Amino acid sequence: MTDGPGHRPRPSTAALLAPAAAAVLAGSLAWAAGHPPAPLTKAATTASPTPGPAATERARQLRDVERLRTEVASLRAELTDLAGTDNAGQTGKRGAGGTARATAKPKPKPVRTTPPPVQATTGAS
Amino acid sequence: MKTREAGSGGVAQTMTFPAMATRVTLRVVNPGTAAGDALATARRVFERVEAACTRFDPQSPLMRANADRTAWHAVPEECYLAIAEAARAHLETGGIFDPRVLDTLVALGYDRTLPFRSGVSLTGSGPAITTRVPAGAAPWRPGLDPESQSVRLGTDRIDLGGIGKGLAVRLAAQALAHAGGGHLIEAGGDCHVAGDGPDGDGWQIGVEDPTGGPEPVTVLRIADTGCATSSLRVRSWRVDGAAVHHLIDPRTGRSAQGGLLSVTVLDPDPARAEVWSKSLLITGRERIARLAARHDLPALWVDESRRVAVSAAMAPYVIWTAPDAT
Repeated sequence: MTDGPGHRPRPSTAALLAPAAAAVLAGSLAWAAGHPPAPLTKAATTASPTPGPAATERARQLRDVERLRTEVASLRAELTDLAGTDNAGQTGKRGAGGTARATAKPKPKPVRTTPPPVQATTGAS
Repeated sequence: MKTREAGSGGVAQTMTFPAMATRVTLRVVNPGTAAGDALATARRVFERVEAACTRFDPQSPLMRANADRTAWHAVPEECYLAIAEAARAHLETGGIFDPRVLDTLVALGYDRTLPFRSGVSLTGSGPAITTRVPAGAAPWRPGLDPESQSVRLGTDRIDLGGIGKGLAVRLAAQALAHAGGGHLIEAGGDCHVAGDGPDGDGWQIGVEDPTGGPEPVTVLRIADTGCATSSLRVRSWRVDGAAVHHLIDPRTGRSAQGGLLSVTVLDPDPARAEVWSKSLLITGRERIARLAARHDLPALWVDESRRVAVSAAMAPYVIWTAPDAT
């Protein structure tokens, strides 16, 4: 079956989202590259005296980096999901004879292995 | 009492003291002129609740009411509030929260302060455990007279340990409400935060690793709420070689065996957070997600494999989880 006159194929959701995600990704990575996270100390995981302005600013930057990383990972995962959905949909439209694109392999999410600083802990008493 | 720099351009006033078998920390960010008095008031709250609700002093108001359960007893406000809160929680949780576990705990040997952190192993309590259980008991309906602040407990002795601490945190939070730009109350598993935190974007609270690891398993960012964790990590011991702990399942009259090591709950009322953290842990791994969803509870739990899971209502507060706990 063919499309009627004047009917233009709709761009996929992934195609729409990809440029925005790529821009956010590039901006985030550039910013993160210019703000390397400092190593966290074990003392930061327990209730401790409140930090000074410099430490506070550094903590804020670390949180920003972490938030951007999470955002980038989320966008990557969303793109991967959408690509998979679109591929499945196109495969279905094309029927048995259609050729689906290879599904993008999900990239591993960046994982922060050390906890961010905390002001208190909750647990056994 | 100490005053220190706190975040961007502010200071914090902090007080630390022992109470209710734990170490309590009170912190006021950007304290006002009345912060010192408010901190002293908050400290007295803990002392009054402990004196009224302890089960380790036979002369405490709670234990006098426990000693003669068919009579009415006029009790201090803190004791009355704790019993009333326990009765409300018993109804709300469908009986999962049940303070009528004192005799079970005593039968398990927990009749005095025990050195849990250095390991406790008791003998000779086995037969008594199965004869002193509230399992299958009728719903608990204590007599409560708010005008005279009198109580009548009914058939079974009660323990107010957990809910007493939640109540103390609630009352201390009220005492600190206008002490400054915000506050943190940390009392073992229970805490309360107010204001935007030392950096202006909330308070970051680590959820302790219930297996004893040095780092938290999760970090939450919260503001203006209470937070409570029930955990098996410390108050566990052995009786006649069998492992037991202090969270008694009223359905069985034994230490809960639901496959969970800890449960953390957020609620504006620290006492309610305490009630639900305990109740969800007793409920166990199989049913916790459904129960948390039914009550729209922000809840986080760690199972026996050290895996962290959260309810939908908790997810927005989680900013980090240990990679090996997901």
